[in-house]
Amino acid sequence: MKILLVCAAGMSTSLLVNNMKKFADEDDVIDALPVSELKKSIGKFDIVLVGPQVRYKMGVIEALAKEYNIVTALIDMKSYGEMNGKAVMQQAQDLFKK
Amino acid sequence: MQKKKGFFDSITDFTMKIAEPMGRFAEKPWVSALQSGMVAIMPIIIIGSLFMVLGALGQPWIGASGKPLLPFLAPYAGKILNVFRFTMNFLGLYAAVAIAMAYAEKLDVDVKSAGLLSLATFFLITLNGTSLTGSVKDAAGKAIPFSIAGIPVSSFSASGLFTAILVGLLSVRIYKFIVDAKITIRMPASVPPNISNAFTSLIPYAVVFILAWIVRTMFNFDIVTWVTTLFLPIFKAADNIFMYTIRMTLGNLLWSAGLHGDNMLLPIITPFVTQNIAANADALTKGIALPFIWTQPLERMSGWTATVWPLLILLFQSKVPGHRTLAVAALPAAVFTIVEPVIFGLPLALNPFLIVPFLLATVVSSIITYGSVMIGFTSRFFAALPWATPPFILGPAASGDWKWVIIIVLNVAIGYVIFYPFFKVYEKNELAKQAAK
Repeated sequence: MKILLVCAAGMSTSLLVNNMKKFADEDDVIDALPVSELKKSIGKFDIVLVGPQVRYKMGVIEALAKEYNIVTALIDMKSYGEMNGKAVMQQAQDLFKK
Repeated sequence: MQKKKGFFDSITDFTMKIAEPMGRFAEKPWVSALQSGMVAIMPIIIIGSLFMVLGALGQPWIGASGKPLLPFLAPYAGKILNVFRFTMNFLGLYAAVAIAMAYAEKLDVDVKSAGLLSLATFFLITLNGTSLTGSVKDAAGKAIPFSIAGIPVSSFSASGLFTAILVGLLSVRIYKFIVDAKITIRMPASVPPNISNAFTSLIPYAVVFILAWIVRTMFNFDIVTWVTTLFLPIFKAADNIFMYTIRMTLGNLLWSAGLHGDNMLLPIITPFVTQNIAANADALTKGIALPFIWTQPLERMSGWTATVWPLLILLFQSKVPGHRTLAVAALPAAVFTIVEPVIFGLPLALNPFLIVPFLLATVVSSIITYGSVMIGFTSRFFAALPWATPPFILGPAASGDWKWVIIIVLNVAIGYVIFYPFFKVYEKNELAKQAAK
């Protein structure tokens, strides 16, 4: 499973990526990028998770995700703030199963 | 708490109402291209400003003594400044290329073609010939005209930034329009794509070049001077304590709804603060007064220093289980002004108890921060550094004035006082909630 997290500068999501890796399988790929670079890289991932602070860009992100047939979702505010790697990893796994 | 909730809801409704059109604005291809183009040239600006600082330290007019602060740099000052001159002081040139490439990416236009088109157009629209003419007076006082090879580079600097933005966006837009209308020279399918691409570009390039050439050379219309005359008074007028406070408060109002307020305002703010810091840097190397107060480092002095930082102290002192853990966990990121763990973890976003002090502390710290420059207590900024530089390093490093540390400490203290009563109510409420469980 290849997961991409996007936020404004890719800074705070990269903190969350570190926490998620503790709960990830060995062959999982998790990366964080600024939302502006999404277009270039979206094709390499299965799931795009979006930081709540850039949810005003959700329209564009959803359109892009549809184009590449990729699942996308907002990260829950509380889990995001707590940098809760377990909960967000769970969210990714649930989305992947669908 | 009923009354407070009503008030809070109306603030949230208001924020969502302004956030929605702003989000749509930020998603427009030209707006996001402008923003990502400006972000792309930041490394050039940052490196340029570091060399500018080094060069300035070797100049005699820095400081009050009339002597260079670092005398051993004095013989090299001019040479060191060359890096500044060709980086930060050529920022219009780089912006023209970067914005065009970013815009091409959004519009699905060939990126290489767009970058080159914009660069050549920028030269054509800013320069009228490759010789400098003027006159000198001989011993008898008679004027002798001269003409030497060379181009004036002043248009490449911050003063050409708005022309660069116009060129970067318009040239690509015209290119796309002509290619979409299929007004191009088409090659048979057997011709390799690289070669046929070069022919595709011929007509759109020619149209854009001719337009720029007519404006600059045939009409001798200097767009840079025109834009400067038009925008500089607006910039000067916008650089005031009210506008600054409104910008900071609007940013944090959006944050209070859990939206990245700074990023949403970036498309409007970035060209403004970038040209301001470059104009200040240029003034410093010339030894004249720095023209602008409002720059990007200034924004980093207020805001988080008076909101998230004092909140961390209050969280550390809080009796609510988990608050201290959050404070410790969020501290390292918060030092670098990465605030999401506090905004969403506490949460500060959509928190009816804390929105009032959050906005109040933003307003007060903005006034203190901007005001401290106005009254001459702190110096203006002339260097750009990465935004995540801790403010207590950023302040002194980007202005040469250690007193910025005092302003930051003051902002933290005032933020603490403002948050204290509200946080105590919140703390009590949280404790009661946990006891009820």
